Amino acid sequence: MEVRVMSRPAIRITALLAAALVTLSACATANAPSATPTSSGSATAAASVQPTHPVEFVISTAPGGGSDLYARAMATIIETKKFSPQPVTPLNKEGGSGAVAFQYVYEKTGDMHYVMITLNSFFTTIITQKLAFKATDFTPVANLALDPFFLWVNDDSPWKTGQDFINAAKENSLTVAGTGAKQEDEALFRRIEDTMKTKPFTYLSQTSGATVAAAVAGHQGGVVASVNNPSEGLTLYQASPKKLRPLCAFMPASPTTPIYSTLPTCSSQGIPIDDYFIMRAIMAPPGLSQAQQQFWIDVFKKVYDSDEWKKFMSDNALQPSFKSGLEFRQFILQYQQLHQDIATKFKWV
Amino acid sequence: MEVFGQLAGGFAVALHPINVAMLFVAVVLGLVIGVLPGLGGTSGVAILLPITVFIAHGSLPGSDATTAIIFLAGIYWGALFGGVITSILFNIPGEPWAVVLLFDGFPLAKRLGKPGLALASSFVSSFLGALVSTILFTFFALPIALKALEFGPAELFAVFVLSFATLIGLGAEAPMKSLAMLALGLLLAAVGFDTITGEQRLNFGQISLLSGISFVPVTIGLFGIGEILASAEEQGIGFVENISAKLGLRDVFEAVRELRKRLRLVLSNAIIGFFFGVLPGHGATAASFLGYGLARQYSKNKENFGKGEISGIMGPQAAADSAGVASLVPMITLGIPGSPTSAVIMAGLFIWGLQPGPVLFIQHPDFVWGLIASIYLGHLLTFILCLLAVPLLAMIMRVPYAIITPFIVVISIIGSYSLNNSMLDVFITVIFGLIGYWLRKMKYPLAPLVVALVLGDSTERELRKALIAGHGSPLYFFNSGLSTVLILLAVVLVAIPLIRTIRARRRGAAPPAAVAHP
Amino acid sequence: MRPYQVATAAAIVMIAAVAMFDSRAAFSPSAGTQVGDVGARWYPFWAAAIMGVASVVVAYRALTTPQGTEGAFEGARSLFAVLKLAVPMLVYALLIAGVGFRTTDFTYSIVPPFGFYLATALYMGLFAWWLGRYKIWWVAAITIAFPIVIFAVFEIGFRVSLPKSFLYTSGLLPF
Repeated sequence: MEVRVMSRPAIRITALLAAALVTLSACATANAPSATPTSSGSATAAASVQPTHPVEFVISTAPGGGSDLYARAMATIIETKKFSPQPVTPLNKEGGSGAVAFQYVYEKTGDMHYVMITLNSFFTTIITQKLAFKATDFTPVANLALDPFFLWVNDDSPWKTGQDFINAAKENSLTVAGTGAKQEDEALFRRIEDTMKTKPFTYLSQTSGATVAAAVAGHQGGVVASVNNPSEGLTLYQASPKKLRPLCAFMPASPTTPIYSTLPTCSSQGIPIDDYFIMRAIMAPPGLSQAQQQFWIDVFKKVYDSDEWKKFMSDNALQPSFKSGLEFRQFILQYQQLHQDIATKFKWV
Repeated sequence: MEVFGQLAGGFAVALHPINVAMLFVAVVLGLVIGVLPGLGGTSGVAILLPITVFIAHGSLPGSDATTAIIFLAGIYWGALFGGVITSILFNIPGEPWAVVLLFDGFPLAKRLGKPGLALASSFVSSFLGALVSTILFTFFALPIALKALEFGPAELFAVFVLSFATLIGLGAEAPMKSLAMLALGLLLAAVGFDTITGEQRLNFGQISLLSGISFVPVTIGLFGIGEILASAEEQGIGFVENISAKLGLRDVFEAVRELRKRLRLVLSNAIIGFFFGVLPGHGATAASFLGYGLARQYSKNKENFGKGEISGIMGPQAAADSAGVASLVPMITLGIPGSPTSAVIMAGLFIWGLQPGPVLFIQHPDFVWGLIASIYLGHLLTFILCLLAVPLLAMIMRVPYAIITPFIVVISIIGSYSLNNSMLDVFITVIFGLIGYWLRKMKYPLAPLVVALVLGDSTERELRKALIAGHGSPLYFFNSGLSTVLILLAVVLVAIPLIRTIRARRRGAAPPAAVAHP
Repeated sequence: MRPYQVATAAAIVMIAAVAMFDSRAAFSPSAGTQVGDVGARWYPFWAAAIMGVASVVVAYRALTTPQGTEGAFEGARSLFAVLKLAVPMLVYALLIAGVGFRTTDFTYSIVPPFGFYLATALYMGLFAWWLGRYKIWWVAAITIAFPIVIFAVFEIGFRVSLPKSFLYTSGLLPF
């Protein structure tokens, strides 16, 4: 934990600097020149292939929000099944749509005692906030699931299919809601706008997926649609009186979860988008050795294979999808490009 | 009525020995978590989430998911009560809604030397508030949650304006200084990340400032640290506290007597708190400020507010605790958490394999009604524990200066650090400690700053969302009956004290002094 | 009191000016702003403007109305009493984090981070010894007991991580 402190008398600095330089030069030169070594990335930690003290599982959202739920479910499985020799403790570093968490983990270069759960903000935020690093700088661990998007409307809506929605959107600028600004929800709406040549959506940014669903259910601010994940819309879909209704799923095939199994895909209704999901992926700081990376891949593979995670995925209508190694790297590159294109097209930067 | 049968069934579940035992453990843990700096209800519940998996899966004899929810909720009730203790004793808020207790709770405890009475007043009003809220929860949960869905940006903006409006006149002896502090609070609330456009602002390129300047480190600095600096100067190093902490329950009886005098205030604030708590977001915090504002507006002794007025403790506390209970309503009925803590409890439901919402009432009635019954039991238990602890807690203020003063600094630093695990927050606390000390000396009121800092963010967000939804037309605020009524109510609340002041000035009399400088 | 009042108001005006400068884009909405949105800068700009104007009025009043003649502090003794608290507090916070600076490539450490526990031990001990004038074994007991109790409650009991010292990563200390 290092803090920048403003200038001190120049003479004292140079004297202390000389001393500090000598002690640190050994440690500093050991690391890659482009990286930012800190005093915590010491030689002993870098040498071991498994954690030697408790691990921080960094979460980029507030407790209870977004990926916090997924991270805590994973941490609980790791803890109850003893998949790691050291405790893996969830730690919320919210702020700036993930920027604070990414910066924090980025600065832990070469230290395997940090892992981070990421979603698509890992791409959007790094691009739109012009952060000093790229998504590919981090050590990729694994993707554990893909969270699909559905197109949701209020149950009293006249629209029955995705096409009805598109027709209405071509006539008027519709008000829609989503989590955050210039994040995955808005990205998907802008993609729809772009692909289907609709009028620009009026986009209301909400603070969480639950409040997005609530906005559609309560016609808050004239909101008529959202692209909530299946789990976020489920309760209001099952409510009596029913409040929400999915029109279609942005997936290549209908979901397998029983309650949604009759839901058609959006591409079958003339909205040809079936390749966009929220990733539920694990990243580690830059500069981990292959053995260290493999340690975390193994831990999260065990999580993925556990019955608890399988049940969790089916309860929340997540698409099981384990990706690591080369396959995961390609996925990261593909999503980075996709978000870069949207950001450029809609002048997000 | 059907409800009574279900509630009776719920009590049968909640009174199962294992459930009672876990409720007791949870309430004690919750109290400890509430008192410990930096460990509010939200993080406390989050930390203990893994343990509940064992409980839910029957690792304890007879335990199931109902035991787990009773356990988690019990922590929340404990924290709701415990969070006010540090506010009152050390001027350090444990929870957002305990901020308002800095205005009168700490002055009553320290300046008037009655920590026991301050604590007991807060506990009795908490209990009554929670009781009212739980009764409303039992009977009207679903229809109220459905109504709350209709609160869009315009309505929520009106609600926030309403909270601000009741506080007009706070620090009225120096109106320009109050205005400057109010604006400073709004400005600090704006630092960081704009959630509507995703732009960075006022962070001067610092990524760590993107999480914004939270009110927690700022209020800990302004009030906690600022206070010990100020008292060091007033009384010199090594002063002895003039506090009468006799062991006994006299304070409790006095608090009950005071409560009876203010029954109408506490009950009406509890009902208002319930409706605020059902709204998503910072319902409890807004409710606590509104509760304080209403207590002050309709008090005969306005000039006592800010100096240790008991209504200034009971009013907001009843509203806040009631809102805290109510925040579970939309979570259980519709799957929409009303507060960060209820969001974490909802995460628990998912992890145990349950789905919140109406289905829960049908598929797992034991779970829902067991939880509701445990709210009654949990609050009763917390209340008794707290009252018994009052004399002991009051004793804390007699710890020698050379230990208690650095100790307050230490817990201030833990409190601000563990909010976001950020050293930046620690420096914010230290710097605002010095700033708060100086502003106090220069007779700037700090209450408007804190209120604006806590509510500023949400107010701006809802205002701008309403403007976007209305395509820029301010008429949008009158587009629904609900928002029209709320806006008009806010206008009236702003106008009444202003007109009164102007009239009083015309008559040449002194304006009704509305003094609340903490 | 007058110079202090005016200086305080002037400082607030300065903050307002910086904030207004940072938010100058309030009048030129950035690309991608939606119809009806006043933009990210509008709100901080006007908050700062109100703050600035209010402080100018405060300063003007302080200059034109009679003010108390006393200084900000009642003598050196009271100033000293405040400094006795403020300075150790600042040093304590700096010790926790360590003092250093960072270039794009390296982090230079002038004072290594002592972490929360070592710094707290020193801080509590200093007060017990210096202001409390306790006997040396009491000082030692406080110095050792406080951090250990906090460690037990936070790190072990609730798994809350507090800042660690420079000896932590090398495995010499558990904190």
